[in-house]
Amino acid sequence: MKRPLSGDVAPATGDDKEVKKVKRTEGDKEEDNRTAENSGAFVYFDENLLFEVLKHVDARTLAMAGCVSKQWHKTAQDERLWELICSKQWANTGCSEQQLRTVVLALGGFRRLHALYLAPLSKPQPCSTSSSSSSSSSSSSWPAVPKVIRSKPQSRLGKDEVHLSLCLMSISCYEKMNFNKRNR
Amino acid sequence: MASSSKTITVVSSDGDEFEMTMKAAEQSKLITHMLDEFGVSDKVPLYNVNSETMAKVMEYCKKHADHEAAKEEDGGAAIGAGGEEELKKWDDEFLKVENGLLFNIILAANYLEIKSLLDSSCQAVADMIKGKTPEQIREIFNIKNDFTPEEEAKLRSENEWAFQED
Repeated sequence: MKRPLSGDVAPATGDDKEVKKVKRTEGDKEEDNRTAENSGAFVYFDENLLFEVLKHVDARTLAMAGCVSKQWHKTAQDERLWELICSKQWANTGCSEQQLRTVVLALGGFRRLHALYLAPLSKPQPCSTSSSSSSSSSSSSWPAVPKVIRSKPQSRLGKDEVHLSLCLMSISCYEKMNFNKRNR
Repeated sequence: MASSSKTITVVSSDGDEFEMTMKAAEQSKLITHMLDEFGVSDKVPLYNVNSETMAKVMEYCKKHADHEAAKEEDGGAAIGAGGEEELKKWDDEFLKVENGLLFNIILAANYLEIKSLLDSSCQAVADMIKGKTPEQIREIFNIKNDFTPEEEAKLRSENEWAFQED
Protein backbone atom coordinates (compact mmCIF):
# COMPACT_ATOMS: atom_id res chain seq x y z
CA MET A 1 0.00 0.00 0.00
CA LYS A 2 2.79 2.40 0.72
CA ARG A 3 4.32 4.22 -2.15
CA PRO A 4 7.87 5.46 -2.09
CA LEU A 5 8.22 9.19 -1.86
CA SER A 6 11.06 9.42 -4.23
CA GLY A 7 10.27 7.19 -7.09
CA ASP A 8 12.00 4.27 -8.55
CA VAL A 9 10.06 5.61 -11.42
CA ALA A 10 11.94 7.12 -14.29
CA PRO A 11 12.78 10.71 -13.48
CA ALA A 12 9.89 12.41 -15.14
CA THR A 13 9.58 15.99 -15.92
CA GLY A 14 9.74 17.47 -12.73
CA ASP A 15 8.05 18.31 -9.59
CA ASP A 16 4.54 17.40 -10.57
CA LYS A 17 5.04 13.70 -10.29
CA GLU A 18 6.73 13.96 -6.94
CA VAL A 19 3.97 16.16 -5.61
CA LYS A 20 1.44 13.63 -6.75
CA LYS A 21 3.27 10.85 -4.99
CA VAL A 22 3.37 12.79 -1.77
CA LYS A 23 -0.34 13.30 -1.90
CA ARG A 24 -0.89 9.63 -2.53
CA THR A 25 1.08 8.48 0.45
CA GLU A 26 -0.73 10.88 2.69
CA GLY A 27 -4.05 9.56 1.59
CA ASP A 28 -2.98 6.02 1.15
CA LYS A 29 -5.91 4.72 3.11
CA GLU A 30 -8.35 5.69 0.45
CA GLU A 31 -6.94 5.28 -2.94
CA ASP A 32 -10.25 5.57 -4.69
CA ASN A 33 -10.87 8.64 -6.75
CA ARG A 34 -13.97 9.40 -4.80
CA THR A 35 -12.41 10.02 -1.44
CA ALA A 36 -8.83 10.83 -2.27
CA GLU A 37 -9.20 14.55 -1.96
CA ASN A 38 -10.41 15.02 1.56
CA SER A 39 -7.86 16.85 3.54
CA GLY A 40 -10.78 19.09 4.44
CA ALA A 41 -13.41 18.40 7.03
CA PHE A 42 -15.75 16.73 4.64
CA VAL A 43 -16.90 13.21 5.27
CA TYR A 44 -17.38 10.65 2.54
CA PHE A 45 -20.90 11.05 1.34
CA ASP A 46 -22.51 7.65 1.43
CA GLU A 47 -24.73 6.93 -1.56
CA ASN A 48 -27.71 6.10 0.58
CA LEU A 49 -27.48 9.39 2.39
CA LEU A 50 -27.02 11.28 -0.84
CA PHE A 51 -30.21 9.57 -1.97
CA GLU A 52 -31.98 10.73 1.18
CA VAL A 53 -30.83 14.30 0.64
CA LEU A 54 -31.76 14.30 -3.04
CA LYS A 55 -35.29 13.26 -2.15
CA HIS A 56 -35.78 16.81 -0.92
CA VAL A 57 -34.61 18.78 -3.94
CA ASP A 58 -36.45 20.06 -6.96
CA ALA A 59 -36.05 18.86 -10.53
CA ARG A 60 -33.51 21.40 -11.63
CA THR A 61 -31.28 20.83 -8.61
CA LEU A 62 -31.49 17.08 -9.13
CA ALA A 63 -30.34 17.51 -12.71
CA MET A 64 -27.47 19.71 -11.54
CA ALA A 65 -26.56 17.19 -8.89
CA GLY A 66 -26.21 14.58 -11.61
CA CYS A 67 -23.43 16.65 -13.14
CA VAL A 68 -21.32 16.98 -10.01
CA SER A 69 -19.37 13.74 -10.00
CA LYS A 70 -19.72 10.12 -11.03
CA GLN A 71 -21.05 9.05 -7.67
CA TRP A 72 -23.60 11.84 -7.63
CA HIS A 73 -24.51 11.06 -11.22
CA LYS A 74 -25.22 7.45 -10.38
CA THR A 75 -27.44 8.44 -7.45
CA ALA A 76 -29.24 11.21 -9.31
CA GLN A 77 -30.18 8.78 -12.09
CA ASP A 78 -32.32 6.75 -9.69
CA GLU A 79 -35.83 6.47 -11.10
CA ARG A 80 -37.37 6.65 -7.64
CA LEU A 81 -36.10 10.21 -7.21
CA TRP A 82 -37.52 11.26 -10.55
CA GLU A 83 -40.77 9.52 -9.73
CA LEU A 84 -40.98 11.66 -6.59
CA ILE A 85 -40.36 14.78 -8.64
CA CYS A 86 -42.95 13.87 -11.26
CA SER A 87 -45.58 12.96 -8.68
CA LYS A 88 -45.13 16.29 -6.91
CA GLN A 89 -46.03 18.00 -10.12
CA TRP A 90 -49.21 16.27 -10.92
CA ALA A 91 -52.36 16.42 -8.86
CA ASN A 92 -54.41 13.42 -9.85
CA THR A 93 -53.52 11.04 -12.60
CA GLY A 94 -56.63 8.92 -12.42
CA CYS A 95 -54.77 5.68 -11.95
CA SER A 96 -52.87 3.99 -9.17
CA GLU A 97 -49.22 4.70 -8.46
CA GLN A 98 -48.21 1.18 -9.29
CA GLN A 99 -49.97 1.23 -12.66
CA LEU A 100 -48.40 4.53 -13.55
CA ARG A 101 -45.00 3.33 -12.48
CA THR A 102 -45.29 0.21 -14.65
CA VAL A 103 -46.27 2.21 -17.70
CA VAL A 104 -43.70 4.93 -17.28
CA LEU A 105 -40.85 2.55 -16.60
CA ALA A 106 -41.80 0.53 -19.67
CA LEU A 107 -41.76 3.66 -21.80
CA GLY A 108 -38.36 4.83 -20.66
CA GLY A 109 -38.62 6.00 -17.08
CA PHE A 110 -39.51 9.03 -15.05
CA ARG A 111 -36.29 10.85 -15.68
CA ARG A 112 -36.87 10.87 -19.43
CA LEU A 113 -40.52 11.68 -18.94
CA HIS A 114 -39.61 14.69 -16.93
CA ALA A 115 -36.77 15.95 -19.09
CA LEU A 116 -38.55 15.56 -22.41
CA TYR A 117 -42.19 16.15 -21.66
CA LEU A 118 -42.83 17.64 -18.25
CA ALA A 119 -40.10 20.23 -17.93
CA PRO A 120 -41.15 22.08 -21.08
CA LEU A 121 -44.71 22.21 -19.76
CA SER A 122 -43.77 23.91 -16.55
CA LYS A 123 -41.58 26.54 -18.13
CA PRO A 124 -43.06 29.70 -19.54
CA GLN A 125 -42.86 29.49 -23.31
CA PRO A 126 -40.69 31.95 -25.24
CA CYS A 127 -43.02 34.09 -27.29
CA SER A 128 -42.13 32.76 -30.71
CA THR A 129 -45.76 32.47 -31.69
CA SER A 130 -47.97 35.44 -30.96
CA SER A 131 -49.75 34.97 -27.70
CA SER A 132 -53.07 36.05 -29.18
CA SER A 133 -53.31 32.75 -30.98
CA SER A 134 -53.44 30.84 -27.74
CA SER A 135 -57.22 30.80 -27.81
CA SER A 136 -57.37 29.02 -31.13
CA SER A 137 -55.35 25.96 -30.40
CA SER A 138 -53.15 25.45 -33.39
CA SER A 139 -53.18 21.78 -34.16
CA SER A 140 -49.84 21.89 -35.94
CA SER A 141 -47.65 23.04 -33.07
CA TRP A 142 -48.23 20.90 -30.00
CA PRO A 143 -46.24 22.99 -27.51
CA ALA A 144 -48.79 25.81 -27.60
CA VAL A 145 -48.84 26.25 -23.88
CA PRO A 146 -51.97 27.96 -22.64
CA LYS A 147 -51.61 31.32 -20.94
CA VAL A 148 -52.62 29.93 -17.58
CA ILE A 149 -49.49 27.88 -17.24
CA ARG A 150 -47.35 30.71 -18.50
CA SER A 151 -48.37 32.95 -15.66
CA LYS A 152 -47.73 30.34 -12.96
CA PRO A 153 -44.56 28.55 -13.96
CA GLN A 154 -44.59 25.80 -11.38
CA SER A 155 -48.28 24.96 -11.27
CA ARG A 156 -49.38 21.42 -10.72
CA LEU A 157 -50.28 19.53 -13.84
CA GLY A 158 -53.76 18.15 -14.26
CA LYS A 159 -54.80 14.69 -15.36
CA ASP A 160 -55.01 15.70 -19.01
CA GLU A 161 -51.53 17.12 -19.15
CA VAL A 162 -50.13 14.03 -17.52
CA HIS A 163 -51.96 11.72 -19.91
CA LEU A 164 -50.89 13.82 -22.85
CA SER A 165 -47.28 13.62 -21.78
CA LEU A 166 -47.56 9.87 -21.40
CA CYS A 167 -49.15 9.60 -24.85
CA LEU A 168 -46.36 11.58 -26.43
CA MET A 169 -43.81 9.45 -24.69
CA SER A 170 -45.43 6.25 -25.90
CA ILE A 171 -45.70 7.62 -29.42
CA SER A 172 -42.02 8.38 -29.55
CA CYS A 173 -41.37 4.93 -28.13
CA TYR A 174 -43.40 3.26 -30.85
CA GLU A 175 -41.92 5.45 -33.54
CA LYS A 176 -38.53 4.14 -32.66
CA MET A 177 -39.79 0.57 -32.76
CA ASN A 178 -41.35 1.04 -36.18
CA PHE A 179 -38.25 2.53 -37.63
CA ASN A 180 -36.33 -0.49 -36.54
CA LYS A 181 -38.74 -2.78 -38.28
CA ARG A 182 -38.74 -0.78 -41.49
CA ASN A 183 -35.01 -0.95 -41.77
CA ARG A 184 -35.01 -4.70 -41.61
CA MET B 1 -41.00 14.99 37.60
CA ALA B 2 -42.40 13.38 34.47
CA SER B 3 -44.53 10.30 34.79
CA SER B 4 -41.86 8.05 33.33
CA SER B 5 -38.69 9.25 34.96
CA LYS B 6 -36.81 6.24 33.83
CA THR B 7 -33.59 7.05 32.14
CA ILE B 8 -31.25 5.03 30.03
CA THR B 9 -27.59 5.45 29.30
CA VAL B 10 -26.11 5.41 25.85
CA VAL B 11 -22.44 5.20 25.06
CA SER B 12 -20.84 6.97 22.13
CA SER B 13 -17.95 5.76 20.02
CA ASP B 14 -15.62 7.95 22.08
CA GLY B 15 -16.69 6.14 25.20
CA ASP B 16 -18.66 9.03 26.65
CA GLU B 17 -21.90 8.22 28.36
CA PHE B 18 -25.10 10.15 27.89
CA GLU B 19 -28.27 9.88 29.89
CA MET B 20 -31.64 10.26 28.28
CA THR B 21 -35.21 9.84 29.42
CA MET B 22 -37.31 7.02 28.04
CA LYS B 23 -39.48 9.51 26.23
CA ALA B 24 -36.47 11.01 24.51
CA ALA B 25 -35.11 7.57 23.74
CA GLU B 26 -38.37 6.67 22.06
CA GLN B 27 -37.61 9.24 19.37
CA SER B 28 -35.15 6.72 18.03
CA LYS B 29 -36.58 3.52 16.60
CA LEU B 30 -33.28 1.77 16.91
CA ILE B 31 -32.91 2.49 20.61
CA THR B 32 -36.53 1.52 21.19
CA HIS B 33 -35.98 -1.83 19.50
CA MET B 34 -32.79 -2.43 21.41
CA LEU B 35 -34.51 -1.68 24.67
CA ASP B 36 -37.40 -3.98 23.78
CA GLU B 37 -35.00 -6.78 23.01
CA PHE B 38 -32.42 -6.34 25.67
CA GLY B 39 -34.11 -4.37 28.41
CA VAL B 40 -33.14 -1.12 30.05
CA SER B 41 -30.64 -2.31 32.57
CA ASP B 42 -27.58 -2.21 30.40
CA LYS B 43 -25.96 0.73 28.76
CA VAL B 44 -26.79 1.02 25.09
CA PRO B 45 -23.68 1.14 22.93
CA LEU B 46 -23.95 3.40 19.92
CA TYR B 47 -20.51 2.98 18.47
CA ASN B 48 -21.41 4.58 15.16
CA VAL B 49 -21.95 7.97 16.74
CA ASN B 50 -19.24 10.16 18.20
CA SER B 51 -19.70 12.33 21.26
CA GLU B 52 -20.08 15.66 19.50
CA THR B 53 -22.84 14.30 17.31
CA MET B 54 -24.40 12.38 20.16
CA ALA B 55 -24.72 15.53 22.22
CA LYS B 56 -26.58 17.21 19.39
CA VAL B 57 -28.85 14.23 18.84
CA MET B 58 -29.61 14.10 22.59
CA GLU B 59 -30.58 17.74 22.47
CA TYR B 60 -32.93 17.08 19.56
CA CYS B 61 -34.55 14.07 21.14
CA LYS B 62 -35.07 15.89 24.42
CA LYS B 63 -36.64 18.89 22.71
CA HIS B 64 -38.99 16.77 20.65
CA ALA B 65 -39.88 14.56 23.59
CA ASP B 66 -40.72 17.61 25.69
CA HIS B 67 -42.80 18.99 22.84
CA GLU B 68 -44.75 15.77 22.55
CA ALA B 69 -45.27 15.59 26.30
CA ALA B 70 -46.59 19.13 26.38
CA LYS B 71 -48.99 18.30 23.57
CA GLU B 72 -50.29 15.29 25.41
CA GLU B 73 -50.66 17.05 28.74
CA ASP B 74 -52.99 19.88 27.87
CA GLY B 75 -54.53 18.33 24.82
CA GLY B 76 -52.59 20.79 22.73
CA ALA B 77 -53.64 23.91 24.62
CA ALA B 78 -50.20 24.65 25.96
CA ILE B 79 -48.67 24.34 22.54
CA GLY B 80 -51.32 26.11 20.54
CA ALA B 81 -51.25 26.69 16.84
CA GLY B 82 -47.92 28.43 17.00
CA GLY B 83 -46.31 25.50 18.74
CA GLU B 84 -45.51 23.52 15.62
CA GLU B 85 -44.14 26.64 13.96
CA GLU B 86 -41.97 27.28 16.94
CA LEU B 87 -40.64 23.76 16.90
CA LYS B 88 -39.83 24.08 13.22
CA LYS B 89 -37.94 27.31 13.93
CA TRP B 90 -36.07 25.59 16.70
CA ASP B 91 -35.17 22.77 14.31
CA ASP B 92 -33.88 25.26 11.75
CA GLU B 93 -31.67 26.98 14.30
CA PHE B 94 -30.57 23.66 15.67
CA LEU B 95 -29.29 22.58 12.27
CA LYS B 96 -27.24 25.73 11.71
CA VAL B 97 -23.97 24.02 12.34
CA GLU B 98 -20.89 23.50 10.25
CA ASN B 99 -21.12 20.99 7.43
CA GLY B 100 -19.07 18.24 9.03
CA LEU B 101 -21.33 18.11 12.04
CA LEU B 102 -24.45 18.37 9.91
CA PHE B 103 -23.45 15.34 7.87
CA ASN B 104 -22.65 13.43 11.02
CA ILE B 105 -26.09 14.31 12.30
CA ILE B 106 -27.60 12.88 9.12
CA LEU B 107 -25.57 9.71 9.53
CA ALA B 108 -26.61 9.42 13.17
CA ALA B 109 -30.29 10.10 12.42
CA ASN B 110 -30.19 7.43 9.75
CA TYR B 111 -28.48 4.91 12.01
CA LEU B 112 -30.67 5.66 15.02
CA GLU B 113 -33.78 5.76 12.82
CA ILE B 114 -35.01 9.15 13.95
CA LYS B 115 -37.17 9.97 10.96
CA SER B 116 -37.98 13.58 11.77
CA LEU B 117 -34.33 14.45 12.36
CA LEU B 118 -33.31 12.64 9.19
CA ASP B 119 -35.91 14.55 7.18
CA SER B 120 -35.01 17.92 8.68
CA SER B 121 -31.28 17.49 8.33
CA CYS B 122 -31.56 16.16 4.77
CA GLN B 123 -33.79 19.10 3.94
CA ALA B 124 -31.17 21.45 5.38
CA VAL B 125 -28.51 19.98 3.12
CA ALA B 126 -30.91 19.97 0.18
CA ASP B 127 -31.52 23.68 0.76
CA MET B 128 -27.78 24.25 0.59
CA ILE B 129 -27.61 22.88 -2.93
CA LYS B 130 -30.89 24.18 -4.30
CA GLY B 131 -30.43 26.35 -7.32
CA LYS B 132 -26.68 25.82 -7.39
CA THR B 133 -24.61 24.87 -10.38
CA PRO B 134 -22.54 21.68 -10.31
CA GLU B 135 -19.37 23.73 -9.79
CA GLN B 136 -20.87 25.45 -6.78
CA ILE B 137 -22.05 22.15 -5.34
CA ARG B 138 -18.55 20.72 -5.71
CA GLU B 139 -17.16 23.68 -3.85
CA ILE B 140 -19.56 23.33 -0.96
CA PHE B 141 -18.75 19.67 -0.44
CA ASN B 142 -15.19 19.67 -1.62
CA ILE B 143 -15.96 17.08 -4.30
CA LYS B 144 -13.61 16.24 -7.08
CA ASN B 145 -14.91 16.53 -10.61
CA ASP B 146 -14.08 13.12 -12.03
CA PHE B 147 -15.70 13.63 -15.41
CA THR B 148 -13.68 14.14 -18.53
CA PRO B 149 -14.49 17.34 -20.45
CA GLU B 150 -16.28 15.23 -23.05
CA GLU B 151 -18.42 13.52 -20.45
CA GLU B 152 -19.22 16.83 -18.86
CA ALA B 153 -20.26 18.33 -22.18
CA LYS B 154 -22.51 15.34 -22.85
CA LEU B 155 -24.16 15.73 -19.46
CA ARG B 156 -24.75 19.41 -20.01
CA SER B 157 -26.47 18.78 -23.30
CA GLU B 158 -28.61 16.02 -21.81
CA ASN B 159 -29.68 18.33 -19.02
CA GLU B 160 -29.97 21.44 -21.09
CA TRP B 161 -33.46 22.14 -19.82
CA ALA B 162 -32.08 22.54 -16.31
CA PHE B 163 -29.20 24.79 -17.33
CA GLN B 164 -31.41 26.98 -19.43
CA GLU B 165 -33.71 28.16 -16.70
CA ASP B 166 -33.19 31.79 -15.80
